[in-house]
This record gives sequence, C-alpha cells and structure tokens, in this order.
Amino acid sequence: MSEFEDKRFDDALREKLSQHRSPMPGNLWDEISDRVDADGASDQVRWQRLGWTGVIFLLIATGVALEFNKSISPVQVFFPTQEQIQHVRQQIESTADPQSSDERVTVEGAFIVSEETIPALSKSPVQSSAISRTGTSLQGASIKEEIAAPSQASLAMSEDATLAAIVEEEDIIMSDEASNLQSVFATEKNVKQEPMEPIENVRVDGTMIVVEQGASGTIGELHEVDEPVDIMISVVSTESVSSGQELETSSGGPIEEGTAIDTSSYGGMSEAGQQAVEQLLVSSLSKKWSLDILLGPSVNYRTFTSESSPELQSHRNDHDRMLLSTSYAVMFRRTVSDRMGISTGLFWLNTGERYEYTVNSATHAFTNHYNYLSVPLEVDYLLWSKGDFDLNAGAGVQYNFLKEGSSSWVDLGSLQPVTHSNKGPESPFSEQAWALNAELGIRYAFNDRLDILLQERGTFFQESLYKEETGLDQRPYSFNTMLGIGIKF
Amino acid sequence: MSATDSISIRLEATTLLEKEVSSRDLDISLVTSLVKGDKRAFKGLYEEYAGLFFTIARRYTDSNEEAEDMVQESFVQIYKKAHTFSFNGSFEGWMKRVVVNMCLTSLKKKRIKADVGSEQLADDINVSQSAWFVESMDAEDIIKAFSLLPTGPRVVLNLHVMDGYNHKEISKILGITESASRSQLTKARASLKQILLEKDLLES
Repeated sequence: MSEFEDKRFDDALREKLSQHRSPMPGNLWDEISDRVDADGASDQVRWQRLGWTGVIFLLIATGVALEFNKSISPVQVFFPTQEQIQHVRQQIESTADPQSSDERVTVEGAFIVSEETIPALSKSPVQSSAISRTGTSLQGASIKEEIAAPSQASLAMSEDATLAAIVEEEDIIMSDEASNLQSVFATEKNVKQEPMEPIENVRVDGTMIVVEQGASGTIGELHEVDEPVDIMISVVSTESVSSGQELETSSGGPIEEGTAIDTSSYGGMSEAGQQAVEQLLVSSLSKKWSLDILLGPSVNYRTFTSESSPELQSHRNDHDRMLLSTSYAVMFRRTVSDRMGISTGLFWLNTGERYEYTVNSATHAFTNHYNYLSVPLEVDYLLWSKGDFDLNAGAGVQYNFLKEGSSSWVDLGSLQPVTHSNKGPESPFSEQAWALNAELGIRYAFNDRLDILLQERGTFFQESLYKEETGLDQRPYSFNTMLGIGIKF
Repeated sequence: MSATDSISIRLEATTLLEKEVSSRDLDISLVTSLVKGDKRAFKGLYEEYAGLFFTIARRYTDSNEEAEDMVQESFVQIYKKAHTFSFNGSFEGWMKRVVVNMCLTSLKKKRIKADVGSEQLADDINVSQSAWFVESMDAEDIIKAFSLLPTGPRVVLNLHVMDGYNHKEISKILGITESASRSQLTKARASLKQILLEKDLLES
C-alpha cells in the first residue's frame, strides 16, 4: 500500500474521530463530583494535619526561644560576717557543758535553693549529701542537726563542717565529702526542754520563706526577705532559748525566749563556698551542648495497602516479614533547661522488609530495603534522675530523604518477579516522606565530658514511600536499639 | 501580491491572533475557576469535553467500562492539577494529554510493553479505497473496531495517527525500538482495515 493511501486512511480516521463525542453514561458526573468532594475532604485533612504539625513546631520553637532567653537570676547569698560566725561559735562553746550527758546542742538550719540552683548543685560533689536527700523537686529542705556533745557542736561549726541534710530526730548526718562547699549555720539551745517538731519542709514563695513543721505540714514560721532567695543556709529554730543565753541577731537585739530568729541574720555561705557554687554554676551552664553518636540494630516493618489491587495487598501482607538492619545517628543536643533538651542531626535509617514466596516449586526471596537519610527534630524531657543516671523520654518529627530504595515481589498475573528501584526516571518511590518519632533513653554521665547512652527509638512514617499515582500506600516503621556516646561541650 | 491580498492576509492574521488571545483568555478564566474550586465551571468543562475524552479513552482501552474509569480519573486529575497548567499551549490540548497519559499508565500496569510485538497480526493487505471505508462508516463503529485491535498495535496506532506522536517519542513511551513502532503501526493499520472491511461486508 502506498504512503499516499496510508496518509489518506490516517487523515480519514483523524477527521472521523478527532472531534467525535461519544455518548456518556448518565451517572459519570455524579461519580466524578463525589470523587472530587472526597479528595477535597482528604486534602482538607492533609492540610489540617500539616497545620497541626506547624502548630506543634511553633510551640516547640516558642518554648525553646523562651528557654534560651530566660534570664538566670544571679545567685543571692546571704553572707554572714566573720564576727557573726565567731559569735555563734562562742555561744555554742560557752553554753555547752561537756560534762553533762543531758546537755545536747541542737543545730537546725534551712537549706533553701531555687530550681535554677539545683542543676548546679546536682553537678557538685555535695550532690549526694544535699540534693539526693532533699529531692530535686523541692525548692528547699531543712537541716537539723542534733549533736550530743559540745565538742561535736564546735566541730559542726568548723570550716570543714559543711552542708548537712534533713536529719531525723536524734540522727546526725554530716557530709564530710562536701568540704569544698562550706557553710556556717548555727544557733544553739539547751535541749532540756521538749524537742521541737522536726521541720518537714522549707519552701520559698517569692520573698517569703515558709517553714513547715511536723507531719501535718503546719506552717511554723514565715520569714520575709528583701529579695528572692536562691541559696540560703539559715537557722530556723523557733524553740525557746534557755534563759541566760544571749544570742544576737544581726540587728543587734538579744533573742528572747520563744522569739523566732531572723533567718537572714545567720544564713549564708562562706566566701569559698560562694565561689565554689559560682564555679559550679558557670561550669554547669557552659556545658549545654552534647554531640551524641549512636549506632544499633533496627527491627523494621511497614503497613501496606493497595487501593487498586486488594490481591496484591493481601499477598504482600501474607509474604512479607520483618527485617533486621543497622541504623546510626549523629545528633546535636542542646540543654534548654534542667529537665529539657532539644536535638537535631542526621539519622541514617535503613528500613525494609523480607519477601518470600514459593510458586511452581520455585522460591522467590527478596530483601526489600529503603535507606533514608533523615533529619530529626526532637524534644526530650528528664523523667527521672539518680546519681549519674538520667532517664529521658523524647518525641519529635523527622524528614526523610530516600537515598536508595528497592523492592521486589512476584507479580500475581504473570507469576514473574517484578522489581522497583529508585534509580531512573520511572521510580515509583517518593523522594521524601515525613515521620514521627519517639524515644526512651538512659544517659549515664561517665565523667564531666562524656555520657554513655542507651536509647530505644521508634520511627513511624506518616507518608507512603510510594508515589501517590502508584496506588500503593506503604509506610515503614522501625524500632532501633542504639548505643552510643555523648560528648559534652 | 496585490495590496488587496496583503490587506486580506493581514486581516486573516489579526483574526487568528484575536482568536488565539480570546482562547487564551478563556483558558485563563477556566483554569482560574478550577483552581478556586468552582464546581459549576468544572461541571461546564465536563459537559463540554466528557464525550470527547470518552472517545479518546475508548480508542485506547479494551472496554467502555475501562474507558469510563479513565475519563473519571482524568477529570479528577484535571480538577486537582489544574494549577500545574503552564499556559504553554491550549488547555484543551493539556487535558487531552492527561487523558492519554492516564490510559497509557493504566495500560502499562497491564504490561503493554510485553504485549507489543507478541500478537499475531494480519499481514498488510492491500485494501484500496480504505479511506473511503472510514469516511462512510459511523464513528462509533470505527471506535469499536479500534477495541478489537490487540493492545500494543492499538496504542501505537493511537499515539501516532490520532495523537500526533512520532516514532521516536513512541519508542520512549513504550520502551520499544523505533523500527518496532513502525512495524506495529503498519500491522495495526492493516488489521484495522481488515476489521473495517469485514464489518462493511457483513453490514452490506
């Protein structure tokens, strides 16, 4: 047949069909309209989801910004003069009778710290004697020492005697290891009288120092100071003072029986103690960054649905299995408060699944893998802390970039294997997908510079790794057990 | 060329330009309405083009049901993706490409590539006056004849003859060689003529 004849034939076809309008089935518009409305609704859901993600991001960013810009008030130290210290010592020595076993000297004090001071102290050598006994959740704790002999009483007043902690009646607890944080606190009384109720709690409410006594937590004292208190070591005894004793407050007047002592008069720290605390504060505040390097095994699987092929969905779900892989991460963590940290970095997340199917006596086994380079943004919170161990829980979002992806299965029509890869222009895989993550981790402070980390981490994809037009919705999830180190700087 | 001829040509060019501008304005108006989610405009679009798109889809697919699915999917895509139209060409042309691509994607899932070249087709026959058959036949009968062609050659015939793709483009789309595309086209023409001839003989 000639080309001319072909051309005439082609032209005739075009002329006949190019503008031909086939009669349409009546209900097609309704179906299209419903589809468009449904897609619009799903778009709305997607936008809502995106909006909520934005709100969460905004809240996190606001919180972080507030934390960064929060002014840390300088440590307020009530500083007793040497004269006051000497005076108290003399009083104790002069009133105690070493020959009398009945005479006991009770030293009581209040150790009041603000929340901002606690992290600093928790890093200090006195942590075990002070914070662990007072609990980091308190703003203050009471100190009460009952010392059986004047010699011990004077020892308590020596420069080596340091912060003590809550003392049960009749117990003496002193902290020898806390020698670098010296304190001076004292009053004395002859305990021939009824012993006072133990102080249960001392808390600071603005400029008010509230001393609660006894199991009922009755307010035993209320002191007002000029400025908000950060650290104060003070006498809070309200016991009657034995007649004949003349303790002076800083305002000069003798203490009469039953008179509450002006706490600010006898509270404070030595100069060396103040320097030690300041140094610890500076040291603590300067190490807010940590470079965490983590590595560990991952257990990976996915959800899989196929709108276009329920058979494939059922087949894949029957023949896919979990895959074990290795993932690793390099994260920068910034402490934003004593309990909260924020981190970001790079996370090499290797997910996938195992596929195995036997047909016509031939077994087709494939390892489908999707290797992502992810950028997470996480916030973690200190749940529990004891000694050098911290238990943190965290959550966040991460954006995942597909580096390499390959999946294979047996086509149910031809019974031949089909393979998809992210290489080439016809890749069925989405290049990006976002995920949510959650973690629970233990951080052990090996020393001032180094943490050892153990982390259990879950990643849950919120978008399919396949492009929308494939009709396949596969969302990986993985659980990583990661071990690593954190270098603080 | 006389002055009259020159004026006439210029007038013709101006009219064409005006038509083009007018068409472009219509496209802008229509696309804007779709992007804004104007369902009335979308329904108007459907009423104007559904029959045409159904014809295109029927040419490519095996059955009317499948063609309906393609038309439905195409309209949904047009509605959703109207914002991606770049006004490089007409909106109608863009919509037709959406329909064709939708059909091709669907056929690819059915392993069209493997089908190409595997069918036993009629050798080219010398049916003179074949154009006459086409001209004299009802369009619906021709579309039905298309559906009787094997998938691979049918797609090649559609792409080349009806939708204006050259063999190089077809070879890329279908993943076959250019010579295979030419060969399929020849065989597709022959088969279509054969089908039309038989139909004509039967009817007469």
